[in-house]
Formats: sequence, structure tokens, C-alpha cells
Amino acid sequence: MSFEMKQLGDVTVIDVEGQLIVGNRQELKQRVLAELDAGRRKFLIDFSSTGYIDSSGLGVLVSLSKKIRELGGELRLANLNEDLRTLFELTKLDTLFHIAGHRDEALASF
Amino acid sequence: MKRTAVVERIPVPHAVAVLLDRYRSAPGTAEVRLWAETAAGRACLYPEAAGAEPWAGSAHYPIEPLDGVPLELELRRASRQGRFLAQVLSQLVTQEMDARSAARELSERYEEINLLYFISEVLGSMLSLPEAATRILSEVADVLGARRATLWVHDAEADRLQLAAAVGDDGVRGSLPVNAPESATALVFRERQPLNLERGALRPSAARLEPPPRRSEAFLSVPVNYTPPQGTARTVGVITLVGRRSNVRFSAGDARLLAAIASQIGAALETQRLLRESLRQERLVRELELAHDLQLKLLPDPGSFQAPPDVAARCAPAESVGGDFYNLFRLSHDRLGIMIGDVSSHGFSAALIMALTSSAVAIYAQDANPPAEVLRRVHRALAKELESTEMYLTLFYGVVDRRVGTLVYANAGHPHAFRVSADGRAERLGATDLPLGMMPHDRYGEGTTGWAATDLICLFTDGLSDAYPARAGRAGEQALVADLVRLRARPLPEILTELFGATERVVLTVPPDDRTMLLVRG
Repeated sequence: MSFEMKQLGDVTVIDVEGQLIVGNRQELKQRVLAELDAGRRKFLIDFSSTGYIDSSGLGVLVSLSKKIRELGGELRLANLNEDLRTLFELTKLDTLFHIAGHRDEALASF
Repeated sequence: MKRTAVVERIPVPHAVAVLLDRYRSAPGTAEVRLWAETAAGRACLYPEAAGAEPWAGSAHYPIEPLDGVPLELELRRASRQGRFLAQVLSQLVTQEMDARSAARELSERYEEINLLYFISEVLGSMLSLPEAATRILSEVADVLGARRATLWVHDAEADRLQLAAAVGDDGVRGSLPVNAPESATALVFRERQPLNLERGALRPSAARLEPPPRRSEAFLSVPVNYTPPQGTARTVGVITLVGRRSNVRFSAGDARLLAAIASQIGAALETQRLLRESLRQERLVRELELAHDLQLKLLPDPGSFQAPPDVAARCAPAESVGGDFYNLFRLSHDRLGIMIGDVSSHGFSAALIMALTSSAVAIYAQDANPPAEVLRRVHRALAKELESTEMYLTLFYGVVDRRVGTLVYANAGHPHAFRVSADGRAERLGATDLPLGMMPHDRYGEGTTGWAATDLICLFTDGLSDAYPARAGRAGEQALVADLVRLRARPLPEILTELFGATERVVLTVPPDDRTMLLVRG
């Protein structure tokens, strides 16, 4: 469970490795908020190495999405595996996020 | 040795007196006297009735000192035995001094052993640490001749040294921060080294002594250590003695004894801490059990629900309390309200939201509102609470109308709701809206499906499907629904037992979550 953060142009790309759950969601939140404070406004969370997101993890994504939007920024999600994509669809969360199939697609959409 | 004086009589060691008696009684020997050179002057120790007048031409032989007092053997006339007799007497005096020293040492050790025994007894029978600490400190101060004593105990939470006991009026009260730079007590605690100061001496790095010595009193402070059966020693307090009735500084032996006592006190402090911790844990467990029972009482008992339709439900929180819940409502015109909810996360915060939601749904559902309106009102009632806690919940609420054969439902992001018909088809009753608390929302959608007496409604939470053993590449939910279809004609309690049982045989790769299922048929 770790996060890797890097800058690709003006987009902050976060890779979530393993799981996004109650135990590590605050770390993700703090890191993204720190980047927001530093003036970053474009964020891409890449789930290509993520196997599981629990309800707390979904909650933090919604909370970050709100915060980013309030500050005039944008959040994209990419590379959700089939189970995660189904989870987003079943909970209607797919209507709340901009979800791209791949990273390049997400980067191009900003 | 010319001056003679009346000095306090120094007792002659018994062996010396016996030897001199035998020498005097032997035939042909010269008269003898034994002299002592004290600070007050020269005194004759032997024989008792001897005069102090000088003997002309007598011979003098120095003897080993007795208790630091130089001795001298005098023979009326010089003889060959004189030097030999002086050597034997010196030997006897030396042995006497060794014996006295050994007796003194033994007496001190006896006091120390007695003290340690006393401490064990007090600690073994103690009811309260302050009382035991005060009694022990009094004894330690008495044995080591200290005027005042203090015991400081480390409060790990506040990282301060709290005064646990004090003997002698020194005005020391309250607590000290462990990192106080000027405090000698804090220094001893931090460095885990004893501090034994000469009378009136101060260390520049610890100028403030607690308790403060008066004028030039001696000061001895040692760390109280505790070594667990398996593990390394750690310091749990400081014990300090100040001032000596004998007006000499504390010796290295005193410091060693105090350290031995400190380690016993350390073990007692640790026992006391573990006892307190254990009581606290026990109380916590009892409270958690109570909370668990109370929360489950908020859920309706399906057994008390008169068929038709048949209902069965089970809720198993991952912790003592959780965020899953279900409810059932008898509505007018033979309708049945069915609900399942899952608050994000679990534990106490989720349980509070669960209780609020369950009450709110009960109120709005009993008003016979349509499902979409129930969800709208519930969301409006909880919106502030959900926003302030950054929590959200999925909520399914449906109304079964057996007379017209429909199930009308509103589903706020709850992924696992199914209707299984008699022919084995499983229809997902999908989400009509986002989970409650995610976005401001004032219009909720509804779905409608058919209802037959042979249909089975199955609502469950992701804790169950995430823990369900996936088979042949099928995810947990798919495998669960496949089993549900297979078991659909069985009595509802049996279906619950089978499906929950399957999750209990699985080694989870995800954190455990609350597991809940509600079944309705007929």
C-alpha cells in the first residue's frame, strides 16, 4: 500500500499500489491536499496497480474530487480494473468522476 | 608518650587481656603495662589498677592501633620476650579489628536484608501504590539515615515525572517535565545514571535539586528501572534521598542499596501499571460488548415477523459495532418495506451514523412515503452530519406490494441487491442514485420490478461479497449470487447459514468488513 507521485507537465500523477483502504486513505488525502496548497490543480490517479478499494477509499476519492473542484481544479481516474470499474458503475460513482481507460487518454483529456 | 591524662576508658579486647594475664602469671616474666595515646592524652589500659608513674629503664614496644588509637606495650625491664609479646599482641589487635569490622558489616547487611524483606512484604500486600511508596520511603530513609526522600513516577502519556510519595517536609509537589534542563531528577531519569553529590556540591547541568538540600546536605538520586522478563530495562521513575543524620555523604554502598530497592519499586510500579491497564481493558471490553448488544437490538428480529412473506437476516459487525444495518416495515395495504444500508468505514463513527439513519428511515417509511421520497428525506436529515464527518452510506429501500405483484425501490449506490425468480434468474436491482452524503442531491429515482410469491429478494453488503470465495475466475459477488440461485428453494435460515459459512472458511486478502444479508420470500 503506497503512493507514488510525479509531475507530467502540469499534471500531478498519483499511482496507487495495492489497496486504497481505511488504513492508507488519509495519506493519499494529505499528499493531494499538500499539492493543492502548492498550487497544483490537475490530478490524475492511476489505479493500474490497485486491486481493491474499500468504502473509505471511495469516500476519500469523493472528498478529494470535491476539494479539487472547489479550487477550480480537475481530477481524472485511469486504469480501473474490471472489478473496480463495476464497483463505480454499481454505486453510480461513475457519474461523479471522469474515468479514462488509460493514462494517456486521461492526460489528453485535461 | 610523656603526658598522661584521665581519658574515657577504652575497653581492652578480651583476647589481649587474657594473653597479658597469662604472661604476668608466668614465672620469671617482667611487669607489663599497655598504654593508649588518645587525643585527650596518654592512658593506661592494662592492668586496670596500674599506676601511671614512670618506670625507670623500662622497654617500650609499639602495638597496632585499636579503633585508630595507637597502643604501646611497656615492660618494666627489657627482655627477649618483649618484642615477641608485642608482635603477638599486634596480631591479636588486628584480628580484633577485623572481627569488629565484620560484625559491623554483618549488622549493616542484616538491616539492608531486613529492609528488602520489608519492601517485598509491603509491595506484596499493598492496596495502593502511594501508601506503599510512602511506607517504603520512610524505611529506606531510616536505614540509610536520610532526612527526606521522594519517589517520582514517569507518566508516559504526559511524559512527566509525577511525585508519587515524599517523606519529610520539603515543599516538593506536583510534576516535572522529563526534558526540564535544570532539574536533577529529570537528568537522572533521562541519563539513567545515579547522582551522588558531595555536601553542597552542584552539577552545572542540573542546578535545581528536588527536594532542595538545606545548606550543605548530601543528595543521592537513582533511577528506578524495570526489566521485563523478556526485554531490555527501562526507567520508570526516580528515587531521591536528601540530608544525612550522620552528616556524611552517601557512600557507593548506599547508592547500590538504593538502586536495589529502586528495582523492586520499579517492578511494583510496572505491576501496578499493568493492573490498571488490564482493568481498563476489561472495562473497555465490557463496554464494547454492551455496545455490540445494543446495536444489534436496533435491528428488528426477523423471527418475530409473521409470515407471509418469510424473512431472515443476519448482521455480523467486523468490530464490536459496525456500520451495516437492515430494517423491515409492515406498511398499510399488506405492503412490506425492506431496507439495507452500509455506512462507509466501520466501528463507532459508522455505528452512530447507522443508528441515525435507521431511525430516520423508520420515521419516513412509516409515513407510507414512496421509496424515492424516503431517501430524499433521509438524505436531507443526515446531510450535515455526513458532511461534517466526511462519511457516506449506500442505502436500498424497497416496498413489496404482494397484492399488485410489484417491488418499487430506490437505491442510493447500494451495489448488492437482487431478485431471484423461481426459474433461477437473478436480476440486479441497480443503483438509482449516488450514495447518500456524496453530493448535495434532492431528487431520487425509483425502479420497479415484478414480484411473485416464489421470488426471493436478497440484499447484502460488500463485507460479505468481498469475503466470499471466488471460484473459476468469478469474483466474490458472482460466486455468491450463483450459490444463492442454487439454494433459492431452501428455507431462508439455511441459505443464510450456507452463505455466511462460506465466508468463514476464507483467508481474507482485504481488511475485514461488516457482513449483512436480508432475505425475503413469499
